[in-house]
Amino acid sequence: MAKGSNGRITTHRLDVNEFDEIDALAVELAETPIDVLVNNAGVLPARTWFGETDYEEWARSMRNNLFSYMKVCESFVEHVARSDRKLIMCMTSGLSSMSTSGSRSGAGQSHADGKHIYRTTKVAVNMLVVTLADYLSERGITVVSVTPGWARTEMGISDLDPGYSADDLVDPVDSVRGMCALAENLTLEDSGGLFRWDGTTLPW
Amino acid sequence: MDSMLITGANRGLGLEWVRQLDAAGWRILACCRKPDQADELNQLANNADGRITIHKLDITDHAAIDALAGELKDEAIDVLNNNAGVLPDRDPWGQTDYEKWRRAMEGNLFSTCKMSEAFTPHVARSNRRIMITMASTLSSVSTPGGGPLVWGDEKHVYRTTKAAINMLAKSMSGYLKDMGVIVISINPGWANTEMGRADLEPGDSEDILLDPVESIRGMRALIDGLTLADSGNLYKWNGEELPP
Repeated sequence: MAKGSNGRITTHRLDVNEFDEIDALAVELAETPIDVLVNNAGVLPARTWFGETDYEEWARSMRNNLFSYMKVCESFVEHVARSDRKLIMCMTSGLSSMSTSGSRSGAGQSHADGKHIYRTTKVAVNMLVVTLADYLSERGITVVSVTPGWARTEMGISDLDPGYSADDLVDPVDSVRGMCALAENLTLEDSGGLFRWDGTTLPW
Repeated sequence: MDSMLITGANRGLGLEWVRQLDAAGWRILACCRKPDQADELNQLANNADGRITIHKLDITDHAAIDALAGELKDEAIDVLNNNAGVLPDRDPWGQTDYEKWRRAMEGNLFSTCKMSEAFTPHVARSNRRIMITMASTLSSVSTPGGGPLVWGDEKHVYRTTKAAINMLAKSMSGYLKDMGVIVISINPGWANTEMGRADLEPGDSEDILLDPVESIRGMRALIDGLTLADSGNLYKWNGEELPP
């Protein structure tokens, strides 16, 4: 894709868990305004049931899903501030909602689905985003949480609930198309919000 | 006899829990990091005819939690009170201390889950079968809470640990429902304790802080009225619903 883009697409080696690499990339790109910063990379840890929680995995997941988002925002805030659109989108999940279980498995399914590690990292992302929205409002930067939906990707398919097939998942084309439309419509007044890929709001 | 295991029992709200439940005749398993320095707690225990026992425990030491759970394996615990926690220093925008954030997750979130995992059998065999996790005035994702009512208060590290605790309580309530265990998260209020006072803004009077006696009195009334149908709910100290 990059080869066919006349230089519009550049690829950058980056492990978001390596905060020195984030800083180095931010310096390397010091002259580049960034209209939309998307904190997209994340991990979906294997399910663990209560009583078998893997605390090392939890710590790694917090670093990968939460701390890295903040670090990327801290390092790239100047790039975003000097752009036209000034938008930061942080990927969250339907499982980040406190008031709905967010599971697709229907009645009876609860927050107790073996994914408390993942859920806690994602509700923490939502919390981080509302604080970021406040920190960055004076600079005209809009920050939102967006759930891309349970998409038919490698990660999404790896975690199907019993009785569901890949056909039940959101088409990644639709998910990204929806998020692009959302990005077009967001204003500073939306900052701190929690959105679904289709532009609707997800309850806290 | 009703019983409570409480962490962070040596000071602040933890110590007030012990005072009030002692007066009410409860059996109290009081955990803290440094029992030899917990003068007030020791004094209470010495006058309690053995109803109060003190247990040395650092809740970030998971092996120590397992060891204590083994040592107490014959006890029934009506209420597991995950009271202990940390309030990290503030992090101004752009200066987040990530190592501190990791430690705060360990001290507030992972420790709560580990304690609850290790003591599930003790709670499950009791009469009341209640587990409490500590939310905060600053734990709601839908409303900023706190004194100045702003999100950007340099406490994103603390806020994320507490929002995560509320989510954990939701998950735990589902995991433990079949065992008849009730799990709720309670915001104890911004109380006039050492930790609460440390978090006052310059110029704030201590008068805006909640009396710890009132906080614990409210939470006691709350847990007295709980049923399994309430499991997974978030509350304020006075029994009002806490927004998600």
